[in-house]
Amino acid sequence: MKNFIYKSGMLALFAGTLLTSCDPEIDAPNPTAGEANFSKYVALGNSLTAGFADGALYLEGQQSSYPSILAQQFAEVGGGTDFRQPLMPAGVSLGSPVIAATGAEVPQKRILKVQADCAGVVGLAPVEAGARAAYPAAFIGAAPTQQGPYNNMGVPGAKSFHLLAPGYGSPAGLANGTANPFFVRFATSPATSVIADAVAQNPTFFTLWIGNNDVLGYALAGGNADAPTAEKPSPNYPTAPAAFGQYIGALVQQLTAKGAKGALGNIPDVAKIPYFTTIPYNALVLTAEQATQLTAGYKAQGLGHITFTAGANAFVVLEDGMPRKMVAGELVLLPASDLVKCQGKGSMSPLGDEYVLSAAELAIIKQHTDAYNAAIKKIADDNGLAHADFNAYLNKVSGGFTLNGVTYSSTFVSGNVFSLDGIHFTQRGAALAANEFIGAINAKYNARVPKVDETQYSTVVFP
Amino acid sequence: MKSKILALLGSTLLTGTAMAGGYQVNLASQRQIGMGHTGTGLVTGTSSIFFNPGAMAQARNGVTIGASAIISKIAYQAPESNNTIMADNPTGTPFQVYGVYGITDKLKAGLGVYTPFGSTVNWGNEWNGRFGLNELSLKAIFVQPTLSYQVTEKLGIGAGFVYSTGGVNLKRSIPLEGSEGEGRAELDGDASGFGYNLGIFFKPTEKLSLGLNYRSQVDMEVEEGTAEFDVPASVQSRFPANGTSFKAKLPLPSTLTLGIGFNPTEKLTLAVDISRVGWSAYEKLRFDYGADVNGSNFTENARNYEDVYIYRIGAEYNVTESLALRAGTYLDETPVQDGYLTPETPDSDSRGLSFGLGYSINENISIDASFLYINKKERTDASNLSGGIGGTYKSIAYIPGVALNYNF
Repeated sequence: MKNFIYKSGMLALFAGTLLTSCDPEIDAPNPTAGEANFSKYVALGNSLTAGFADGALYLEGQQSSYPSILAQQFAEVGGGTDFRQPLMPAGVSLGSPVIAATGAEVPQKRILKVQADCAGVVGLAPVEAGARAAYPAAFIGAAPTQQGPYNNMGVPGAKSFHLLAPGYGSPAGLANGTANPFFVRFATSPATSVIADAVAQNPTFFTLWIGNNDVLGYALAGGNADAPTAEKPSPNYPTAPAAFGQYIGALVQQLTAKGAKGALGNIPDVAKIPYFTTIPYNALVLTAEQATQLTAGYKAQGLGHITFTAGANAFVVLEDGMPRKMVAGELVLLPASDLVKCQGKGSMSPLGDEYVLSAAELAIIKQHTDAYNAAIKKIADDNGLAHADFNAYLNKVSGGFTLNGVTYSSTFVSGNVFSLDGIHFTQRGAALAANEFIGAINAKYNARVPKVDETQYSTVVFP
Repeated sequence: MKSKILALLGSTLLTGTAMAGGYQVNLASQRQIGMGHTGTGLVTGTSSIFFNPGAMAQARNGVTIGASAIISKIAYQAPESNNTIMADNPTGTPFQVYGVYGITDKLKAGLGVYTPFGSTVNWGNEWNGRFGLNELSLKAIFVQPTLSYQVTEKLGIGAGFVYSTGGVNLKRSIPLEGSEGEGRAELDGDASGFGYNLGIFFKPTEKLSLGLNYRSQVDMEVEEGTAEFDVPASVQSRFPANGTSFKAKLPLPSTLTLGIGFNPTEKLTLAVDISRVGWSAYEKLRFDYGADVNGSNFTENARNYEDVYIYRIGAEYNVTESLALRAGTYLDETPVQDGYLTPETPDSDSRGLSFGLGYSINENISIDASFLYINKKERTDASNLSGGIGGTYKSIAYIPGVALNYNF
């Protein structure tokens, strides 16, 4: 009997061992490129394409740029495996140069840190990771660590027409603003343009996501720009829609001249990004006593129509020289944070117009965005290109959604989509954007490019 | 010999990977597993304690000790992905121990210890669903003292009281990233509950027998579990620093079974069981914490299981006086509705196919061995109503088992 038990036990063990090798299989269609050919993929665009995040271009953001993720997924269906980017040296970051008292300087990437804010309240705040570097020395010192030609042609700050502009990468053009220091880093020659460098690579597939800056520049300036006239150019005013359509058309015409297929991304409603939505228009919370004092103060200046009550109040903004209370739907820009918190702006004295998007300014933004998107859609359809609807996608983010047990929203810091500048993606956000492109590409070209596991990419890192 | 089996039991996890519907583990007797886990309409021996206490009065005095090994495999693929992930489940080892002793000719007492519910699934902490689940272990050991009375020659009744003891351990990642990686949560608690098991057994003719069995719902309650959270320092203040307590309740559903036994010849036994499992009791998975965890003192996810039927058919053929061969099959419907699939129990309709043999060494000692293959239908679900992880799941299991019977 003992023997029998032993034998049957061994038999069961043997059977078990055999069977452990029989794994269940999931019947899913095999990945395929469909009608597309991803052997040479080139990405054109702006900072979102470049992998700019946390207010700066830096290595980790580039490595997780949506084009880099797309290339990795394309490789599953015959895409090229040598995707090159003008990578930053490790540990170095380049923000968009700003003018400071001592001259132009280069902001550093932001990180979350526990520290006291301007009011002395200790909490988590996005701060620049190190001291600002001098411009243009910092750019010169941050030459790409990877050889070109570069599949990722994303240039932070670029507007639609910049991609067509010869000399956009010329060091000589930096002083008068015809060149962009980010493109100077990796342009093949001073005279070249972004589109020329892209087309020279003979891409079989491209993504083109450009136009955000054509309207974002206006929004970042608080809408503080008049419509341009023949005599008076207004660089911050949104690009004229008719011209925008021509620029996109010209770019696509060059990219598809040799039969390449591709995908166009459209323009999200920039007013839905955290940079504009983090501070509510009525975040001024007053006690009854404070309200009475402020009301009296404005009345003494002959501004009796500006009154305050206990509780939440709209901020006061100075528009066209006249103070007024903000109204629901209007937006306060993120940099106003310290001003309203510690300098009495928006209450004791009005917020500058450059910190507020008024209803009229938002209407201009919407009108231009809608027109751009109509042009992008038409050009995509006319040329048989995939169309990734990032406008709809950002609306979805703005409403919030849950994926794989993680909640995504446009909430600053904790929303997981936007990085610490409130404008650009986290690495996770870039992966989600890559999946939006993949969805559009699969639908258009009858392809099955596998989507990426977005959870493998970082969100905001907490100390 | 005995010591070997005891040693085996001692080293087991005392749990089964959920391989019936939901987290039910229908592996109560090696003989009956071989027959498609039918048995409510039969005198199954000591295991009538489980299958039908009404038939226990006709069982011989004896002791049975047995165990199975669940080798389960679960594959997962995220939507529109081409990457298959396999859960790394430990081998589950549900067991059963039964003893029956006649107090009088008509009245018998029995004690059963068995594991009808449990689940161990380990997806690891790297897969895309890790914020839903890393690892879950549910354990329930039922202890059931039972009395059975032979009312007439044809009719027997029986009742058992069930005390269930076990526990739950759940690990998941927290979507807060620090310099040392993502946050982690671990919930661990002992659970217990009570229930009963009632049965009527009726044998109108020599060839036909009928049984009706009701195993009640048992609510496993965790009174004082421990919840621990490992998160980046700067957000630690939103979580209890040294962990907190939690309460939870998991219903182990009732099962009502009608069984029919038929002996067309002396050597052949056929059996059919139809069970209705009261899974609708599992409406939600809720944890109530002793302190606020990230701004809330509870978490709750809908489950909304639905009641299901299990259909079983099995046969036993006595080749010789000492050797019996068995086979059976069953269809076990899933209680998980569309939209509610979770990685804890990525359930779908399952098909079971079983074989077994029995060998009597002498008048008093016999061995049963069984082998069960379970194949669950591939299922794709958005999991958007349960806070689960959407995608496609496919499970199979191989379950060998062996038991020793000693009758006196």
